[in-house]
Amino acid sequence: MTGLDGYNLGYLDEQTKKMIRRALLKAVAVPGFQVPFASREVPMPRGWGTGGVQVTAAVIGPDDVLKVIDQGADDTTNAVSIRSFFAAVAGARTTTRTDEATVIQTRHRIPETPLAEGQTIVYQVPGPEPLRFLEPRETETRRLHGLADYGLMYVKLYEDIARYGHIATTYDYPVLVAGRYLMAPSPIPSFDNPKMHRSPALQLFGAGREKRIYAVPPYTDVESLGFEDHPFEPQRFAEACALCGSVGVYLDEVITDDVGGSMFVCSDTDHCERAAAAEAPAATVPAATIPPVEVPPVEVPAVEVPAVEVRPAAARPPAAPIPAPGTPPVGVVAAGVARPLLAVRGAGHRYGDRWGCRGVDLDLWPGEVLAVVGESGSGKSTLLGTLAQRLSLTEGRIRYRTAGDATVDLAEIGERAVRQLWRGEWGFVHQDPADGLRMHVSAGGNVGEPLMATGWRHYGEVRAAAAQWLRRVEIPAERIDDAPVTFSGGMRQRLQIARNLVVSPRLVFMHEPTSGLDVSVQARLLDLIRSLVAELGLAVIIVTHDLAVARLISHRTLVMKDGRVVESGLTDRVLDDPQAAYTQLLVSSILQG
Amino acid sequence: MAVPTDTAPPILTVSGVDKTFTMHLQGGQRLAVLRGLTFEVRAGECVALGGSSGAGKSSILKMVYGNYAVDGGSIVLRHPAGGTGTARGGDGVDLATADPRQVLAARRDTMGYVSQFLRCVPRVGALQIVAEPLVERGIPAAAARERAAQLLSRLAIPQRLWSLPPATFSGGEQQRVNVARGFVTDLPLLLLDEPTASLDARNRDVVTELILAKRARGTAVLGIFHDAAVRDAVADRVVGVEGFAPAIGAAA
Repeated sequence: MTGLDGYNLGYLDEQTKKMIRRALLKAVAVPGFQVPFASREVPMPRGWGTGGVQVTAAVIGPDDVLKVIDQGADDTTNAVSIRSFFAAVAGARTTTRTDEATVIQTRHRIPETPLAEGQTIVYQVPGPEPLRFLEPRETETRRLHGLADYGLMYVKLYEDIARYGHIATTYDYPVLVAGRYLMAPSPIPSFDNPKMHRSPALQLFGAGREKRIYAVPPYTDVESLGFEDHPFEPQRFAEACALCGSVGVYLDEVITDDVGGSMFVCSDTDHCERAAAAEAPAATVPAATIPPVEVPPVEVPAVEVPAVEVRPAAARPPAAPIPAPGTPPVGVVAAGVARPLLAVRGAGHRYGDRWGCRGVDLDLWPGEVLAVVGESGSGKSTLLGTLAQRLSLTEGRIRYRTAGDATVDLAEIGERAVRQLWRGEWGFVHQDPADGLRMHVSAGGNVGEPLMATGWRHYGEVRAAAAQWLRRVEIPAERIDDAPVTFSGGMRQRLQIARNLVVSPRLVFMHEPTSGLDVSVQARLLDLIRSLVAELGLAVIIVTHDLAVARLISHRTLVMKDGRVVESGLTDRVLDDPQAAYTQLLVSSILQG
Repeated sequence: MAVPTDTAPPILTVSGVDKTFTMHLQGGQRLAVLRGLTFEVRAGECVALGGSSGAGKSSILKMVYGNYAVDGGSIVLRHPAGGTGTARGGDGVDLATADPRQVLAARRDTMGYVSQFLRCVPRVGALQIVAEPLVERGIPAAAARERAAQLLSRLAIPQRLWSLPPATFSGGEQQRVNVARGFVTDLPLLLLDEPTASLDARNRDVVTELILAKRARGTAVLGIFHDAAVRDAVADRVVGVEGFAPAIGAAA
């Protein structure tokens, strides 16, 4: 068996194949994890199955038998072209029979014939990132995978149910692999999802344009996500195939004339042919009577090409062990009530060679509201960012007493633990609600997300809790399915507050929550914050340039200037009998209403 | 009148208190107001602060309430025996040096304050403003509102105003809401800054009755009363603030 002249066997050069195989080994070792790889040019456009072709080229060997399907069909342009491509460049034997193939490359289907041990199925993947729908930043989705923080995926399912009454996602339905990684199964119909679960075949996924490879080793758990009250439901078809009479298979609707006539036929042509043949043994059903089909997802097939060879499939270790979650027990101190929630000593943050804030000491106790005031550039926002772990702590210490009554040094506990605090114990109210909300997700989804991120898996309960919170922040119940882009500024800010308070945090950071709102809206919001803070016993650090806001809702006030705290104490003491020259200036600058 | 035994320590002991205002915006000019201020207030006793306008009477109330900083001396507040939490009877807390949490605890458990003007909160109705101090101390909302309603009725605030924010009320009405808010709790020490200013005769009498009733229950009262009739009716004695004014030119 030789390839075309001038080409290596399998088209790709040996170095490239090694690189891809290394990525495949990693992918198999960590099921569901997206491994980056240096995707090459292959002789077809990006988006036409280049990822699948590279994976196939890296695993196919002289003893392999290749089947290629395109949405179930062996006879579309794409399927035929890729088959002839590998016949030419790898000298591979090809087949249309699922049970004869050792390697099956597929675009958006899993064959009806159950796969067997020893078979490898290679999926062409247009978009490997299941969270991309709601989170556009790659750095953020990677972090979410790293921390197994998958509340976001449930937001998408929540939105489906809120809008359509059921989960309307019918292809590329998200799955959790081996109980750890969230994975896009490529745009296969949800009908095929159950076939992935504990499949005896090795499943490889190649995304050429996005440069990612991932895998599901044989016999791995693949769970399709769902809610307790809206579990995953694969698609079902009432009809039988019009050609072979099969039931319980995935059907395509085929238009038969130009007056609206149509019929439903198997999308899996191999299955259809053999089922028809078995039904009418003597019959001569022409093999390729089934026309190609149109379906939602991207990609248009087509290929033409040259030649070569390869090697057998990669090793298949069992599912990789999963790193244990949980907060590292750092610096645990004995229990007690007479300790502050947050104890800050000598805190400072430096921007290059300038200090944003420095030498800040403060204690915050449960139920206490602390205002940080000062003019623009005084360092109050930097201090807030540093306390909230959004900016690094250049010097000093910040200790926090957790809900479990352990005192932790925030600089030492690591990102995962800090994220857990954000999910369960902390809130952050941004000045611009667009920074704290998902503007195109419904109000209910926005408020429900923190609940789903902390493990709520019952749609009805999430929705009821969201509705209750919308009521508390005075947003009309009928707006629950509207997105915040349709809300006024005041409503958005109230929605942001609901989203932050729904998980009953212990500590809430607020950054100028009322500026940018007109006066009457401000008053309403302040009143709301004031009553919720008292009702829930929240500890709050609020940054504001508005001394009236500080007076209305805070117990204590910290006055900052040039990155330093110039005065602190009871709010009414600081405002009524200011000691520092700068505070006197600030207080004397208040407009009398 | 529940006059305590002489052996009971005073609820409030002010000794050697100095107060100077430094005005940084006027070139650091220093304005000495008080030197060596000393007096006591016992349970069930009403002490009036006397002196002309600008003598520093309000400043004294504000220093006791923790609202103004104290430059020197001590202001010891003792919660009578039987108190709980942070306000147990005993050594008391020196408000001149207390940290903010101690001051807040003292305000919650030991001393109430009726300022000269009501500080209105946007959007909050009068009844709720009056009930709030009780709710903050853990009294169920319904019971708190009931007590607030009684006081507002007694102070002749028409019921149709109860749900409205007092920002729109007349000066006298605002002052009565303020008095009601200050009197709704039962704390051992009550600080009153001209509680009857801007009130008509009928309401002034009601406030006088309320003060006497507080005293009868053992509350210590420290107040400023410009109205001589009210002062004579409620005060046991007058502390002349001018006696503690610094010598002229001693300020700097």
